[in-house]
Amino acid sequence: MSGFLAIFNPGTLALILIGVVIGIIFGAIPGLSGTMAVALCLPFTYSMTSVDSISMLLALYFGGVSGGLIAAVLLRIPGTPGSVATIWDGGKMAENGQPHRALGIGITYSMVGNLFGVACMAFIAPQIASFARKFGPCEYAAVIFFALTLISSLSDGDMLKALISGCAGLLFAMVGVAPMDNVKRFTFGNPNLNSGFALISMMIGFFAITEVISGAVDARKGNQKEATLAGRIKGLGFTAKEFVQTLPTTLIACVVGLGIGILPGIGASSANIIAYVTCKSASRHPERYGTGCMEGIIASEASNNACCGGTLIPLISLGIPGDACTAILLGGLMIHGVVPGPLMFQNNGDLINAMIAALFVASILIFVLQLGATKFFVKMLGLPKNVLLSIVACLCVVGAFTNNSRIFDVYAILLFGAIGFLFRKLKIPAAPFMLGFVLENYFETYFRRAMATYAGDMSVFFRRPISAVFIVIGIASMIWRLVSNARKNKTAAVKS
Amino acid sequence: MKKQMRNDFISAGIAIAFGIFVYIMSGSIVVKRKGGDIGSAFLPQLIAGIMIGLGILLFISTFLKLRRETSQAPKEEKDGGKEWIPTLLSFANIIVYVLIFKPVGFIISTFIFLVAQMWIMSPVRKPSLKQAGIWVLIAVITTLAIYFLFTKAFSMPLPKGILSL
Repeated sequence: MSGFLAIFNPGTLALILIGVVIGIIFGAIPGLSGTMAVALCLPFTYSMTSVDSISMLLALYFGGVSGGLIAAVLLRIPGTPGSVATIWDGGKMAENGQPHRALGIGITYSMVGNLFGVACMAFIAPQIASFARKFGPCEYAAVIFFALTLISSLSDGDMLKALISGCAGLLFAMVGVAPMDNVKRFTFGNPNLNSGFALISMMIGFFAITEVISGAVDARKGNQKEATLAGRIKGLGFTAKEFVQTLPTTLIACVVGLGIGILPGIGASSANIIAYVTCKSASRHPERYGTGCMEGIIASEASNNACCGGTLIPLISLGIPGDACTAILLGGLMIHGVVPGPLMFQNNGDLINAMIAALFVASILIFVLQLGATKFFVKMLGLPKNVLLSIVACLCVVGAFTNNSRIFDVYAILLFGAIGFLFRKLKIPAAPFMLGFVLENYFETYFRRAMATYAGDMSVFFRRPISAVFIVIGIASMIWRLVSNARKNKTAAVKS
Repeated sequence: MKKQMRNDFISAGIAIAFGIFVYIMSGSIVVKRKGGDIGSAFLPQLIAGIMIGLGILLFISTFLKLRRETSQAPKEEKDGGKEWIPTLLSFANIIVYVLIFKPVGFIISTFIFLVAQMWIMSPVRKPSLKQAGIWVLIAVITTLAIYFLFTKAFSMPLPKGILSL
């Protein structure tokens, strides 16, 4: 309650509102991200009080992740890497003529994910953090290995192609300086390649450029999405019955998102895909996923937002930033003399309460603002497609450039755009590529760290209980999927 | 041969060729092993090897499918000939935009890109003067709005190119 008293003044609430609005804009524009918004606004917070400063930065962070769903649903282009999985069902639902419903579901479950993350941060952060402390390089490598085995589930019936796509993602992520020994790999003497390909360039190339050049045919035919503009939905786009029916999916998505958020580095960019696959595997009707079903949107949106709460837990409990955004937040706290870590609960308990209250208010504001603007968002689809997609393509190029102010990142979107287009033509799924690309660096870092720590003894992964569980589940689920996939193919062959 | 099978053969070929290329290139990676570290060449070679294996499996499974289905009078599917034109033009336009983005500058390159892209994607091949005027107006407004939003509001520099001279 003291936290709410600290932020319930016009100045702080106005800063949270500004943070949320800027965050949503950054999240909604492909190429810009919440991290960028937090980094840009950090200097403005130096002169503020610690409560005002951290409230605004957290609002930017949450707004940035939530805003990603708008472009994902309406344009089938993820606004942030955290909303890639939203395209599969959100984009499909919009295509099927229900953009209001898709946005309503996405916006509501973004809030549910946000509130779940905030609640966990408020009530069980120290307990979660002490469990996370048991994780060494072996456990991290095992968890990421488990996530990588999910690649086999990201196929549209063709597991081999999904695995090839995942391997390609892993190999492209290896370009640049290797972890541990800083050896250059596949740089071909080009210094621009030393730091590898940026995730933003990959995402824009693979999803946005591919969508623009593929959409050119439709646009030229004058295929406006008239069906999508017809009719409005009442309320949030789903019934109370649907809400109850999807509770298990919601819970799985939130827990997976939170868990991945707690692990350093991985973040929302893979949480949404991993949660989507997990929910699909646990569903009684996995065949509905990808056709524009409510569960698919919930899986992606609840998880990527719950992940944000998860990333804050090790930050405040242990002083460990999980990703670039929380690293900036850590800087924002330290500027005001606050040192996150186990002592923060004793020394700065009021500030933690204020952070929780600010996140709660920001989550509600994001929900209200996005829901209020749904009509406006959908109206954008009424713009002629040639105008809309041209502007989006331009924003993508600008987004790729402003990420590091490096022209090489802009050239990289051409490469990934060409690969993405080739994948689309050859019907190779793009999601495994993205998952492999995101996870490679973390996997290699922890795997090699574990090898160096345990003198190259691989049996250590099976001797440590947590890592053994993840590796065994990963291998078993992959074998199970391979067998069931082979059976399906055999049945299909017999039928034909 | 069905289009899907042709696609699968091409996918398998690309996977095998890419895997071999990466495997060969991995040979030149400097290996500095400390303690039990596996070195920086291990994972690229492992993944490249897996990729080659997957490519071969895809080739074999597609070949077996082809043998099964040859008796069923396969139909040759054709790509929609002219449908490639807007796609290729769009990609070419993006390539030109990206290449001139820095040397020419954001404002001019974006204006040219937007007008060209709106024309490429438009159902109208020969636009009227009014239509062209609308595209030019949209391009000018969008370019300036993005430029001032990024450079002034977000303090993110965009290339000035020839306008800085």
